[in-house]
Amino acid sequence: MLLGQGKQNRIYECEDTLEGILSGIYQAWDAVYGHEYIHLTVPSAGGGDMVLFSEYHTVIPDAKQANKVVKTIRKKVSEEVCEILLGALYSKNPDKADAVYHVLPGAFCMGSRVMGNLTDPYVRAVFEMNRNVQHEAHEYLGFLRFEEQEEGILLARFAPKNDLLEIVAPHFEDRFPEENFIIYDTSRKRAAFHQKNHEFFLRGLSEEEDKQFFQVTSKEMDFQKMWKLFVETIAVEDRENKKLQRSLLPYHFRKYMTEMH
Amino acid sequence: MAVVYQENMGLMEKLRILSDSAKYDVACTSSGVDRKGAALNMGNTAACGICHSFSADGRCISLLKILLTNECIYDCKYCINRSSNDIIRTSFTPEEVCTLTSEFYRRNYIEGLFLSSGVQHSPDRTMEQIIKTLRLLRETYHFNGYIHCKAIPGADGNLVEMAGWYADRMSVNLELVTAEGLKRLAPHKNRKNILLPMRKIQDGIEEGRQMLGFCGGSKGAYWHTQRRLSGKTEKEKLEEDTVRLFGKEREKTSDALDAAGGFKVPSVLSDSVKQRGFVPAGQSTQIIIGATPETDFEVMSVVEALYRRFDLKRVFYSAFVRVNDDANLPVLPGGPPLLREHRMYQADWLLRYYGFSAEEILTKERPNFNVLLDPKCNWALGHLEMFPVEIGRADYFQLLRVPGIGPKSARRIVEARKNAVLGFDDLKKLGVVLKRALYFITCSGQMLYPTKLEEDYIVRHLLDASSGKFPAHLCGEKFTYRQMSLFDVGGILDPGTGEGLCC
Ligand code: SF4
Repeated sequence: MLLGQGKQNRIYECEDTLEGILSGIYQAWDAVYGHEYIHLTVPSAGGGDMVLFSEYHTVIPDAKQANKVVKTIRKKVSEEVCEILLGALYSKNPDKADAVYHVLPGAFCMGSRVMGNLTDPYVRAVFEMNRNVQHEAHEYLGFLRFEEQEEGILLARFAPKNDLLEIVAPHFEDRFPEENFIIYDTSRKRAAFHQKNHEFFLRGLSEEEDKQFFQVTSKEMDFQKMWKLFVETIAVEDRENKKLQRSLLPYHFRKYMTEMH
Repeated sequence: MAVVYQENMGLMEKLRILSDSAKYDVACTSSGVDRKGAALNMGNTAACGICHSFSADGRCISLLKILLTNECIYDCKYCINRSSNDIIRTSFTPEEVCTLTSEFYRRNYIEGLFLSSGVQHSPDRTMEQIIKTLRLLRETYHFNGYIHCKAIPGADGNLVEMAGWYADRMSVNLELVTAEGLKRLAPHKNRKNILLPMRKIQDGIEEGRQMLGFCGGSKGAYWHTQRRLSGKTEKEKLEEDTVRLFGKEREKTSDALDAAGGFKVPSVLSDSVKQRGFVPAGQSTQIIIGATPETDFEVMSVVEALYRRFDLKRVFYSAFVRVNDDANLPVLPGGPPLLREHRMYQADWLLRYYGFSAEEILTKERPNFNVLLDPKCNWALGHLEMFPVEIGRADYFQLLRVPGIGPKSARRIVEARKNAVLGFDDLKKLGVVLKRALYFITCSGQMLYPTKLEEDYIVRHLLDASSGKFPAHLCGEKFTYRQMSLFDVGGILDPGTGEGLCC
């Protein structure tokens, strides 16, 4: 940390959304201040303790700026690297904005090879964050459970550690084009809504609204019972290994899984 | 309402019986084919496979694994459904299977259906019933998710082929690797009636691709590894295969099938069924471990031949569980031989991804796996003259042979060393398990610590390093127990292409 003398650190505080962070990247880059003196934080994700002798900027999200950043990375670096950087931005890690920002100078000069440079701490951090996000998203593709409500609407609740709605929703949209479904992130109070044969959209959903959905049908109860029965029956007694089951399906995933209650 | 309730009770009971008797089949993976969803249909598939739950034995649940019926005219000694057992018999109707599959699927309980069956009346009748069910599911229920179905040994080739148009993966279980084993424990089965349908499926996949351009049967990891080792392009290797399969070298079993009529696309198929192609996720088989006295070397040699000659995607290993009290069945005091099964999966991994041959892993003189060490470590200790390997120079396949380095870390090393000279700290970051690798590698000519390149010395240290966690987890590296079990059931570790460990 540079104290008092020389150049001050400059800190950009971003909103915890793709648009917020990408706008922060745009504004910080635009300032041409010297990358090593620039840091991005996401206060609402738990980042950004006050640092003395720093200059603070609050980033106002701007869709145009955010789009420009994405386009530039796609064009000048690569599609694939862009996906990795965006993936990292869904992370729960409050350092994500800073790490992604500091991968960019290298990315613009090395091109698509930048992610191979795992000995660079920022590249490594982004790599890990994206991996963690993708891994959790992959798990939820399987662990998410839909419950049928009156009128056939399917409702799934989950509480992922990373912000996964935008990653998992397209998978289910592709899988169930003919269904009306809702995927609700109970900790972020946001949901993806999919109406039959339409594109999904995201919006906030309060707990009160969520409670109104709790109207599962008796047919639903029958299938839940059958599913539970199946999961119990399919285990081979002579091979019982609860420890292994626990390590493959940790408790935090089980909260909304029908068969685990 | 009351009627529905009654019906559901009946369905519930059938589900209990017909999933209970299907549970010993281990091939519960949904991997190997990537298919987007389609309007008016329900479902898509992911090449890397998706696990939906884990049962109390720690195995992945991804498919609704059921028998169509547990009635059976055969009497395989190891099987709970054998004709001589006095158990409750029941069958699903095709409609019931479709209801369960689609209702489970839309709740995201499963990736699809794994349909097996006892042999009711005759192999042909059973195969017909399977086809009827799958057709209903695809054509009437518009189910576009994953389907794995069994080919019944002894069924007519044309019926086997028909099922292949509705399934993503098919399997014929070899169960026992020796002819004597089969004769003793599965008197109605023999190599011929098992290998014939296997060859039929393989031919269908090949011909489908070559003549009709279907997406069917992407090649397995074994094929890709062999191709890379021989430095061939995909095209060259495919051409070589054509000669092997359809040219002079064509094997006898296929000739017999040729006489019965070549491969054609049945006219009854709808376009959407044709588009999915013929068995696009390839075929697999299962082998029971420990029911008969063959050596590990015999098993792995047969497995290698299956990969090479039948282009199997996967071989699954199932530790023998003694469900019947029968004088022909061994009593294994330690219960199912899980460690042995685990070693089989490790060795299988070496065949498919590392380019080892069965004869490198085991020999006639030492025909069984080492209890203490995983097969790769065991091999390295027998070949110390090939070490240490220099990280800055060794090629991909040389790196792969170092204990503590897996396909992922080997790939990362090759990539990262273009940008920087790698030291031991870097290797750790790239995912190398240093406490195992350190005896076998140098970075810029230096070893991490002064160590002896000596078998006893290394074994002692390797075992110490795993401090007390004897025996299963001792072989950490890429083979932690956790990963093996995932891999055992497919899960995220079953790539379709052999190019990566995960999608
Ligand atoms: S054929 Fe053999 S293994 Fe298959 S169900 Fe019948 S008895 Fe069991």
